Amino acid sequence: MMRSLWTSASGMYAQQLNIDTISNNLANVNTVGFKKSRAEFEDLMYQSMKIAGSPTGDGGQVPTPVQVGMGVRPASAHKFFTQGDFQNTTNPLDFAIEGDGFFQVEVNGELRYTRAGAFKLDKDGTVVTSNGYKLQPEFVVPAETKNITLSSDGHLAALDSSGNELAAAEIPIFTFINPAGLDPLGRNIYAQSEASGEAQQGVPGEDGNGTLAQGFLEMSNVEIVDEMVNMIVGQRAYEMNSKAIQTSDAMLQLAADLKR
Amino acid sequence: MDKSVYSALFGALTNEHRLNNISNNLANINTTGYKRDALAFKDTFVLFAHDQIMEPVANVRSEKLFPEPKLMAKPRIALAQTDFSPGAVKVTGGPLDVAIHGEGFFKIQTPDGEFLTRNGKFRQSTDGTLVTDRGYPVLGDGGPITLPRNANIVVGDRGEVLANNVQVGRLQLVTFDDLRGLEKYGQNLFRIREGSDIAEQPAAQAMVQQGALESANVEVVSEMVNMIEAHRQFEAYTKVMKASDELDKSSSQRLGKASV
Repeated sequence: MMRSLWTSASGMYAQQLNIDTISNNLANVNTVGFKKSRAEFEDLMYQSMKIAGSPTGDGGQVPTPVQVGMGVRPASAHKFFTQGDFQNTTNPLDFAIEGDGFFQVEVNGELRYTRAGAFKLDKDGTVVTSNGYKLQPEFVVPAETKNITLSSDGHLAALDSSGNELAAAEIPIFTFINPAGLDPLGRNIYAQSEASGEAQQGVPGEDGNGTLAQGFLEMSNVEIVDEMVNMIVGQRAYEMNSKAIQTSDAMLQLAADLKR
Repeated sequence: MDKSVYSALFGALTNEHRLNNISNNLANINTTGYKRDALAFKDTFVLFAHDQIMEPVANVRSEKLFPEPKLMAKPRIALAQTDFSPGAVKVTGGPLDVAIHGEGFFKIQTPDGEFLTRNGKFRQSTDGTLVTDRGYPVLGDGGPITLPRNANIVVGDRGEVLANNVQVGRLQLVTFDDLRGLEKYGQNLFRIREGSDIAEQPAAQAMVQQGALESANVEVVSEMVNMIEAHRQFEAYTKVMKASDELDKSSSQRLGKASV
């Protein structure tokens, strides 16, 4: 059957993935610490119909080969770790990272990474994420604490009413050479992967690491206008690929009608 | 038998091939750095087997024994070439996204040898090397470029790569005296066609833009118009086939009557 049917089907499939990615970005437009994804495509292999240099019917030679492409395939759908906007919440347990880096949290015994810094206290006073994952290193806020402070270089301290430190910890941040290669696990959590490289522990503000800001949350980095424009492009591209399928179908119909 | 059916058949097949090509262009409408394929057609005058026969008697009653070969004109694909005109540059903001304005290609090292691409969607591998989406190193003037961790990367107009204001390499930008010697490989890659003698030269006119990617150079409107044309031409050729069939039918009917 006609090659164009499968070529166009690959185009429709690719645009469908594009729209899926855009939809997920739009759904997470208000998710703290969310990083947008973008689908990337690449062309499939080419088939040579006529080899260059082969003789033609009228005695000449084929000057350039005739290559016909087989369509498109999704190459990757990876995260964009650009900075999201900051929202001032004045909540002492809301931490935002300005620049590169992740917080380390413990999820079911495994070390994972997140940029969603909306921390809470659990019943024991331990600093946890909204899902109850403990911030690393674990920090327990004593019961008589009146105030919690975090400096931009990660010094987290629990203070009593007269300003004395009851407990303190240094909160490190972790960077990856290729953050786009991190494995997103959902719930704003990422796992280290082969593509991301080893997590490197660092002091906030040193060696190009980001700094910490207390009382702020990093919002998602989804730009609504960008997503809407990409959605229009994706939808129209889907439509045009479907037209190519319709045309192939109509041509096959004409071919079938030859025999009465 | 009426020969026009074969001419029409070649015309129809040519249009089928044309639709395959249009479908591939449309499927790759969102593929970064994709270059569209264009086809050109010509009539060929196919040699008959009888043209090779050395006739002892060239003419019978001063009539040619066989028809002129020119009666078998068939439309064939004359030329298939990739249109290397630039695509629109889309701003993405990614620090390792680079687009080339004007001529030129990036050079990519793969296990199968060196390839060329216009897709500047790069990332850092786990050992710091600048690589493509698929993990193939991007070649600089002195081999692959290694970037330090967490560095602030700036890519200059001429492809200079600066990490924290220190030059760490320069993207190799090359072009060729005759781009027709290139062929598509898939995966957004081009290579020099086997047996082609085109010479590589530095792309003096190339200008690199950081934070942007080059879109496919597929023009939707012209592809749609070409698609309509291919469809209608195919339809017209099927009409020729049917008419030729009618002719054969009526002539055989008349012959049958004459013999009675």
